[in-house]
Amino acid sequence: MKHTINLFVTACALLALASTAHAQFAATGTGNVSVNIGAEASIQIDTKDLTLTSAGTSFADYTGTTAFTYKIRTGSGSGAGITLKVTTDFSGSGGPSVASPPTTGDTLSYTCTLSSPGTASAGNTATTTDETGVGTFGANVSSAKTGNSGSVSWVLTNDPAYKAGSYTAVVTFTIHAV
Amino acid sequence: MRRSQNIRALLPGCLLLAMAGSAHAQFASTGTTTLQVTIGPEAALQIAATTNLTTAGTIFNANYTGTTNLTYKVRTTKSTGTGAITLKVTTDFSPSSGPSVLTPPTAGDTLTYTCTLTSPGTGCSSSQTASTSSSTPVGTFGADAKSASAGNSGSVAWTLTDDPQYSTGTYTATVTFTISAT
Repeated sequence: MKHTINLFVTACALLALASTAHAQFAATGTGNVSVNIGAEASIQIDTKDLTLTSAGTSFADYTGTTAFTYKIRTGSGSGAGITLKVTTDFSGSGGPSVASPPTTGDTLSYTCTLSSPGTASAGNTATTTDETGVGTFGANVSSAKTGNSGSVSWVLTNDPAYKAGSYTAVVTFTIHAV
Repeated sequence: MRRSQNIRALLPGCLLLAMAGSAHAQFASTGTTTLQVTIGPEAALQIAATTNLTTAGTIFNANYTGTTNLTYKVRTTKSTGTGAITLKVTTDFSPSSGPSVLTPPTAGDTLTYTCTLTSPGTGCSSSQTASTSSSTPVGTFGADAKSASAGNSGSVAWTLTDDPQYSTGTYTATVTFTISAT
């Protein structure tokens, strides 16, 4: 019984010491400030409204360039990149269409540029159903604080079947970091 | 005869000595003593061990933020005293490739903070930028400032720039708080 009490008293004393070690007042005190930096990415479309134009009157394709700025920080994984998708097809009937063009072979295609550390994707054809590549990023890369630049140069087939008029589509760019 | 005269001459002296002794060590049913203490200015504080900075966003739209809580005890001199709490980044963020107070990857990246301090303290009035080279203010105390016996509370709310240039990972810096009173 006496042995048990002694053990109990010792334990209480240790607990009391431990508690004072945590809550000690002194003229100075130090604390650690920790931060866990994770993978992160964002994109800003600098050319909000782009008008595709044709260089001639002999059915040269409609072209134009969308500029954007991206910020990215990747981790050790792979698969980071920028994609795009036509989320709203050209409006109005009788004009160009990504999903159902008036003539087979009419496309909205594009090529990309992407400043380092990004790598531009090869040219592609935009769709309303799938994300298509704009560029990729490797592991452990980062953009400048103000962001890095990129662009997508569009080519829309100039099909005589298009009725004269103005048509608008919405393209959504997505950036993701891993 | 001559001996008797000598004794008479010594008696008054002996009586005076005896009276003097009894004045110091007088036995009575009660006794008093005087206790004196000089209360001087004093200060101490206690800091939360670790503060985790987190970001609410994933698209570089929010900086990393977090709050360090502290408890202070203070007593300043009645009419002329002052006191202060300061902080300094005594160990910069490590490991490298992440945020840094001394050598940030991009000019303008900072570890800033705002302060709150319950009365009788006054928290720093504006946002401060933490430094590794000099102490920066957290709060001040006026004359005759007295905290509660258990201490009064305060806090430092941190903001760390979210720069894409930081490599992913966990980084830790050590901040030393100092309290003083006069």
